[in-house]
Amino acid sequence: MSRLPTLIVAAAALAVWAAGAAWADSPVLPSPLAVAHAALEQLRDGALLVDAAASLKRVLVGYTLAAVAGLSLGALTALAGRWGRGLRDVLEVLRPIPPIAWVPLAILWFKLGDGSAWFIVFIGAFFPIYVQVAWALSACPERWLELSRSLGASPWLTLRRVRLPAAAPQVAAGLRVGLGLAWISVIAAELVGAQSGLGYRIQMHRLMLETEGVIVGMLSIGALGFGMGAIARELERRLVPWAPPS
Amino acid sequence: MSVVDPVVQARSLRFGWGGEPVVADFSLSVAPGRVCVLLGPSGCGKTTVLRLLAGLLRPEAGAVTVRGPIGMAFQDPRLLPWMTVRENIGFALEAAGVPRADWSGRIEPLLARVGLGHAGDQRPDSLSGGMAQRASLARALALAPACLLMDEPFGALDPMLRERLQGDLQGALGETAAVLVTHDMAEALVLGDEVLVLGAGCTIRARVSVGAPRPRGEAWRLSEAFLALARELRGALAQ
Repeated sequence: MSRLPTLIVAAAALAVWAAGAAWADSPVLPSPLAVAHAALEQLRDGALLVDAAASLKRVLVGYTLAAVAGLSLGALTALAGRWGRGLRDVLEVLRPIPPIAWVPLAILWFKLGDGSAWFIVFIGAFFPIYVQVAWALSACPERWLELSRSLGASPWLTLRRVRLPAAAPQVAAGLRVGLGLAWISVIAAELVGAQSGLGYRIQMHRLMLETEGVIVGMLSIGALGFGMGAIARELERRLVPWAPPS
Repeated sequence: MSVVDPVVQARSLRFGWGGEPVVADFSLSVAPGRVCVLLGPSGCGKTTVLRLLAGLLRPEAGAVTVRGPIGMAFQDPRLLPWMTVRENIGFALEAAGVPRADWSGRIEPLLARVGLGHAGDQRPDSLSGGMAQRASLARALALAPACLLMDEPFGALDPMLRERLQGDLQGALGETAAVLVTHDMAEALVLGDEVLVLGAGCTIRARVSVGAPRPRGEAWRLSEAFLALARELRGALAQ
């Protein structure tokens, strides 16, 4: 029953789409039925799954690298005093550059293919993770630090038992946001710099004017991103049960 | 001054944040098993004195001497939300370097003493206000402190619960010396052996001794002696 509004809104969106397609009567706006038919065909011949797996692998590799770097450098920024602030200032200059602007350099450095896609995913996912970790570790509530001092806890014990758990909800949120941006970045990378993956598939269908194929690729990205986001939220709920619900 | 050596002693403390001193010239001495209450209006510097005694602030002048470990109960329970009640108490033991093998033997009696024997595995978000405050008290008592410092620990609770916890606290203190900050006169007279009435800059306006035997409950609150002391405190506060 709680899902009823979602179902009603989805049905309404499909109805508007179907009405728009019927009114336009053009290959650039296929009906939902035509898209469903194309999706089934692509699933049957296996091509969609192969490309989805290629994108998924790129996301996982680039995201893992970004998570390791974001967690380490974020912690360094928060805990290394003046050196940490120096690192933050340098990274703050790079942060506003969108992942897509890195594509030309990525292709020059890593050629077309996995290397450049991993790099773009890394750039996309790294900054939200880094920023959240650095902020969360440096903004531990004073009341908990004071409690730790009143108990005579050493700085190392305070880091392990107070600062890190206190930062965990924000860190988990950064990891979740980073995952979403990893998906956005991989498609950007594949649109121009890869020869497999969902982004590449969308581009190929566009060149062949197969709008149904373009929409199938887009909806696949949405479904995979949604699924991974749901997994991330569930992990967050289990591993950081004291975090406010996201 | 008690004939017994004091557990906690502060001599001529002075502290400020720049400008007028928050604590101008404050001295205090508390013997084992005695409770000294700091009573005064909000902003007079009571909590600052407590932080100076706990070593959380460094005085500009004067000195604090404490014989033995200190336990501190804050105004809010300040339980770490990622730990269970048992783990919160364990954190105090871990901070003091108590071997993990000894934890259970110290935590379980404490939980029973504050009436939380059934709640050791609960997280703070599932505790009522009173339970959280008792867990906080258990953590403060975990190291069998020579001196317990309490900053309005029952201030946010309803009157009935506050009275019950005041009773629990009297039973839990034993030979522990305690300094209690409050602005509740009744609480001061139920818990305190000596009440220091403070004014601006933490100057001591009056020193009132409470000689009534413990435990002090309903009968004490309704007695003539209680009312007389309450009038004395009110008079000192109104100066």
